[in-house]
Amino acid sequence: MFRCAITAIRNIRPIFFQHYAARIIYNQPKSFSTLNTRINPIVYTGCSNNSNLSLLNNKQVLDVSNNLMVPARTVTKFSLKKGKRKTVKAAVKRFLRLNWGVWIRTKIGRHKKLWKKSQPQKRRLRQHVFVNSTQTVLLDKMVTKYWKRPKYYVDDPYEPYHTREEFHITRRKPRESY
Amino acid sequence: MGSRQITEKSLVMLRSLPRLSLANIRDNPGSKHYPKRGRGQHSGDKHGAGNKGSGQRQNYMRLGYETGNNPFYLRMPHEPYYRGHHHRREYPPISLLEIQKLIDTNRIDITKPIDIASIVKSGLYRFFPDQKHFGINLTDEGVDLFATKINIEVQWASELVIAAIEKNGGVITTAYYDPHSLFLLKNPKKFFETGQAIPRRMIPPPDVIEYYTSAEKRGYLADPEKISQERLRLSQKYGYELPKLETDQYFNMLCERKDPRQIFYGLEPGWVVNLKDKCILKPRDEELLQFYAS
Repeated sequence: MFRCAITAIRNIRPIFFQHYAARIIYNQPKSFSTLNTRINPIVYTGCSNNSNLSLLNNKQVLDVSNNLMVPARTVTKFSLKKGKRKTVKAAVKRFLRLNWGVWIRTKIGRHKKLWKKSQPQKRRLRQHVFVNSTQTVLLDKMVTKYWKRPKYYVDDPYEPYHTREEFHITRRKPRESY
Repeated sequence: MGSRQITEKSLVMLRSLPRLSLANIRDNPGSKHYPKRGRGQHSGDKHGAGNKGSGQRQNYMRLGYETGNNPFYLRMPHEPYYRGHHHRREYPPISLLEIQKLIDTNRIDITKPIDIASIVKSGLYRFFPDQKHFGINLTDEGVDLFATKINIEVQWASELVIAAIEKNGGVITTAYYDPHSLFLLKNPKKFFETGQAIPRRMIPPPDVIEYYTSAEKRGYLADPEKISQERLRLSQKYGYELPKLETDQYFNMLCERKDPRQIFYGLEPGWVVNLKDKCILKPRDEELLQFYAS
C-alpha cells in the first residue's frame, strides 16, 4: 500500500522552484490500522519558508492521493472511530451462515468455461455446499455477532436448512408427538 | 637416597598432614558444569515464541491469509445471500403447537382476544423490536393438535394456519405494527411510566400494504365482507365445515378487533395512562381529537 503511494507520487513530473526549495518530509509511520485506505502525506515546510507552493496545494498530488483506493479485505479488530470489531464484507458477500453454525458457499468456477463442462459437472457446480470446520471457525472470526444471530425472514429460501430436527442425533427439541 | 628412605619420608609427611574429611575435600577439576548466565528474562530463552521462522518473528498473519495463495474466503464468486438484509423485516416464529401449550398451561387467557402483547406477557416468546423484528409469524407446526377457539392477531400467517384456526371456530387477523408501537407492546409498563400519550399506530409500508389489505391473508385492512367469503372458500378448499360465529356464546369476543390506529386493546391513541394515581387521562381538545382520529 505504502509502495503504491510512493510510486504514484514518483510518477508526477518534478516541480522546481528557483528560490523556494520547500523541504518535504513524508511522515508515514507504519500504520496500526490495516484499513488505512488513503495516504495523505504530511508536509512540513522548512522554517524559513512560509510558502504556499508546497505539494499540498498541487492539484495533481491531491488528485492522486485522494483517488488512491486500496482494497482492504481483512478483519478490523479495532475501528478508528469507536474501537469496535468490524465484519469482513468479502466474507458475507460469498458465504451464508445457517443457524446451526455451518456456512455454505457456492462452487468455484461455476461461471467459467461452461461450454466444455459436462452436464453432470454443471449440475454439481450449481449446488451450494458446506465449508469445512476449519473454514467455519475462520468465517466465524471474520464476522460480528450480527451475522451469527438467527434471521427470521418469512420468505427465506434457506429456511429448511437452518435446523436439523430430522436427524435424531442433531435434533435440538424433544419430540412433541409420535 | 634409597627407596626405603622415600617410603619413610612419605609416611612421616602423611602423619603430619591433616586427616581426609568432609571439610577438606573438593570436586575434581572440570567435573562440574555450572549454568551459563543468559541475557534477558528466563536466562536468554525464546520467550515462548519457538525456534526459527514465522513464529519466532511473531508475524501474526491476518485472518484467512494463506501466504500468497488465493485465500479461500476470496476464491469463490459473489453470491447475494445477504442482499438487502438491513431492510428486510424479520418475524420470529411461534408455532400453533406452542400456542396450544401456552393455552393449556394457563399462560394465555382465551376469553379475551390474543395479540402480541399477551403472547409476550406469557414469557415464552422472545422478540426484539430493535433487531428488525416486526412481530409474530405463526407457523404450522402442530397444526393437527391445535384445538382451541381463539381470537388471535398475529403479524404473519400461512394459509394452513388460518385454516386450522378457523376450523376450530376461531378468528385470525394479520396486523402490522411499526417498530415504535412494538416497543410499547413489548413493555407497556415502561412506556406508561414515561407519562407520554399513547401514539397512533402507523400504516404499513408500501411493500406489505398488499398483504395487509388482502382478505386471503386476513389482513386487518381488508373488507370484512370479503373476509367472510374467503373463510367459506378456505373451508371448502380444506374440506371442513365452518363453525357458525353468530350463534357462538363468545360472539362478542370473537368480533373484537383493534382499530388500525390502535395499539392496545381498550386504550385509544392520545390517552395517557397514569400508573401512580391509577387513572387514565383523555384529551378533550378538538385539535388533538382530530389528530388522533386521523
